[in-house]
Amino acid sequence: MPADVLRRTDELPFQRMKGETLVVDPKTREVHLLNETASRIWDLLEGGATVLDMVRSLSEEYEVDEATLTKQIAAFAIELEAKRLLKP
Amino acid sequence: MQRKPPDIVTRAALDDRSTDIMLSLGGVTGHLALDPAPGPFLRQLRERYQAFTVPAAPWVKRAFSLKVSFHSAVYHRPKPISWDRPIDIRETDHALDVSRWDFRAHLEPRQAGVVGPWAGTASCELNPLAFDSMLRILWSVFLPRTGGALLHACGLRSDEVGFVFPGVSGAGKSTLAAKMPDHDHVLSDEIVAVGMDELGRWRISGTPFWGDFKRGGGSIRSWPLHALSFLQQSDQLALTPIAPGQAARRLLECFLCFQHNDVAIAERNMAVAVNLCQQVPGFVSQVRKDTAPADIFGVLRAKLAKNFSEKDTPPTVREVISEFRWSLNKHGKYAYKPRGTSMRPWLKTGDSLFIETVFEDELVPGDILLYWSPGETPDGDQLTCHRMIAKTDSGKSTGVHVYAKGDAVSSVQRFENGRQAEILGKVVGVSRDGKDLGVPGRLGNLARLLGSLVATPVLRMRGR
Repeated sequence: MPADVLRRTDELPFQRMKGETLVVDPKTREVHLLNETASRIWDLLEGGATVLDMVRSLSEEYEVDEATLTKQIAAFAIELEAKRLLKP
Repeated sequence: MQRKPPDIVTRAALDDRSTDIMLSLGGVTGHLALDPAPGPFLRQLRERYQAFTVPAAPWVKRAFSLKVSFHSAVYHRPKPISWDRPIDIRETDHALDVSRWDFRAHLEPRQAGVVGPWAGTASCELNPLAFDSMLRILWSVFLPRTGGALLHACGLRSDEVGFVFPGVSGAGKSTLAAKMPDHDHVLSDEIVAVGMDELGRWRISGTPFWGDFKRGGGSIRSWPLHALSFLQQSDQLALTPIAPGQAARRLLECFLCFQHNDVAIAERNMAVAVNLCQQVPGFVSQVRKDTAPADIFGVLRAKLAKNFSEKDTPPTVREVISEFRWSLNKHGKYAYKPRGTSMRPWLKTGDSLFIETVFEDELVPGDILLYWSPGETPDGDQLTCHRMIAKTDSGKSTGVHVYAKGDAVSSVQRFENGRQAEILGKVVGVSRDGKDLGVPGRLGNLARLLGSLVATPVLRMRGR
């Protein structure tokens, strides 16, 4: 996973609201609300990114050690994939 | 020659008049031209939606015009009903197709000779539930195009402001609505319309779509939307503010939207929800089974720190007149102060007119009528107070034609009641400076006042 390029599922409407991000899946009609950190990851996934890429970007913004950040981002990516917000 | 055997054929009387219904919900107007159908069925439809109608004049701007024909229930269907997705909607820039097992509609943008952007035809089962469902779907498509939405929600009014209590079935919407001490303050217990006024402020209005197919609602009047409050059953009464993002996520689950897997529609609905939740505060209302609406309003008043009693002016003349019609129909009578000079010398600005509802067949020439003349746009509508000089029933395909005229003007207005204009009532009394004047003039006085070629052929027609 850390080296795989992760990409958002195509054609998922989303909108930023004061740091949070609302994502709608037209197929399932589910509505997802990403908090500030998740929204930041969502932004980084715009053109495709690996977990390592995201860890590098976020470690400068958040005061968290890289190992913890890697674990959290990887777990979040699995969750996004389970919710069909990431391409398999 | 052999005699034919005895035979008897009985059919339900058809109402041969085509019926036009112009509905206005959430500021979106739709015209439905109903083909002839059994009289009781059409009457039921007219009565159910009457509070939300506007006179169906051809010049009234509308989002769509639909010609509806009715058919009996079909018992042998060409293909089985897909119960997990019974409604099929295909919406493009060039066509809208809506179908369910009991109706189908096809509309396209702007056909020649038809006012309004979309027009088409529909075929609907002779069943008020089918017709009602078709209307819900049509407004769920057209309302978001103007930035509004239909919501699964209970809409309540407290003084001069409105509140939305969104929730899917079982959330407690109908229970809350049933506990309102004044039923007129319930905008709907099932589906409400929200939209923005010209200044971008959110407003809520009622709809004819109520739970258990109940009839409800009084007018198209809208109210300023002060809060969204998501109901939650609890053992205590508490109101917790929620962030706009959370409110938007919850609200989107309550949108009336039947399209599936349509990215553009999902985007549009999300934009509406985000806009609304960024402007209107959201709360989670924990309520007990015995919580009264007044208790909820009390807590909301404290949280919002706003004055609910500040007088709200309806944003359009159309809403004002619709609300007036409701009051008049509810009470049977109303006092009204007209403005203008067309009925001088008998009626002057400042006079109080006492209006009573009246049936079409009770009207006689000389009666002073109050009627609703719709404009092209909601602000072009007018309440006109003129004298009826004649009335004719021109045949089965149309309604009663009324000829009316202001005493001080020479032009005669002719309209088909319910179409080009709608008679709301007649003047039964006039008060000026505290004195009762009685109703000025009857047919004889009318003939003298007119003193024109118009009155003589009218009087000859009526055999006087």
